[in-house]
Amino acid sequence: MAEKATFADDAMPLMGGLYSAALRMTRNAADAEDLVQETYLKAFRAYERFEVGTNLKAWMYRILTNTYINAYRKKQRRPDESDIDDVEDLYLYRRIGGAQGAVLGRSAEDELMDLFGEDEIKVALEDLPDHYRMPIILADVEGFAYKEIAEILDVPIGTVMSRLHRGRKQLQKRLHGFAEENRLLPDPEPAAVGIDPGAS
Amino acid sequence: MTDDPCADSGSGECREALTELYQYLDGYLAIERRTIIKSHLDLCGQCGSSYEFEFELRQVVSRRCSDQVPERLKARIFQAIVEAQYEG
Repeated sequence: MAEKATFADDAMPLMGGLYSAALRMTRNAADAEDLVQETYLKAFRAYERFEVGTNLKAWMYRILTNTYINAYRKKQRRPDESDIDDVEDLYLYRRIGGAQGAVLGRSAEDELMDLFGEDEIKVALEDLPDHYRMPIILADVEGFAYKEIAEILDVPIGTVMSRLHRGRKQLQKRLHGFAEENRLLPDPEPAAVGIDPGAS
Repeated sequence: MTDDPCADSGSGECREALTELYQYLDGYLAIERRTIIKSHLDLCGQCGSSYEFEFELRQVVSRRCSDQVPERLKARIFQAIVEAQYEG
């Protein structure tokens, strides 16, 4: 069993990820700070029940997630859980895949970074309903595996996979909206993608 | 579908590669499936390119969604833990 005396040393390094996740969940800094503090206090009080050698990061995110769902989600009135249209696979790639890598000597990642304003990816993610947003935060930002996400969110692995699949496509649709607004798209038509044989 | 990025989308291989894209990128595929997809990506420029795009996009999402913790929050939480130690 874990020693409370080591809690700060063990758990403080995880704060960056927890705070980022809390910001995406609550969508505002004041609530995110309260949520992270509450998470750390709950974790500290329960730390003797944490089994040393098991996954501390996943344990902390489970506390964060449950605290958010129980306390914060209720305050936020959003038309959250209504289901949204299905989006085709490779939504963004079909539309802007050709723009990416268009300038020689620049990485595709740099091209994508330029395509969206500083906060647009955050806004697009925060705009998703909870059941899509939470798995994406855990998988794509925090790097958790399906099994860990299933445990953190207390849903079956199959549910994690289908929500990630649908949620990522929804995210791409919102990102495409920003890209279009930014008028950085050289061609509004979908597809007609240039292939770089060296990229595969 | 005419706008399918896979030139050979009628073939099972491209279809399978698309179906398993996220499981592949998420590291969830068993080694056998992974090897099959990997060799398809090496041969099929279209699928390779779309996988690359999805991978890069994810890096960008992760980078853009990582925030710095305010120093005052670190201090606040540290203080709260110290105080909680004396609660018993």
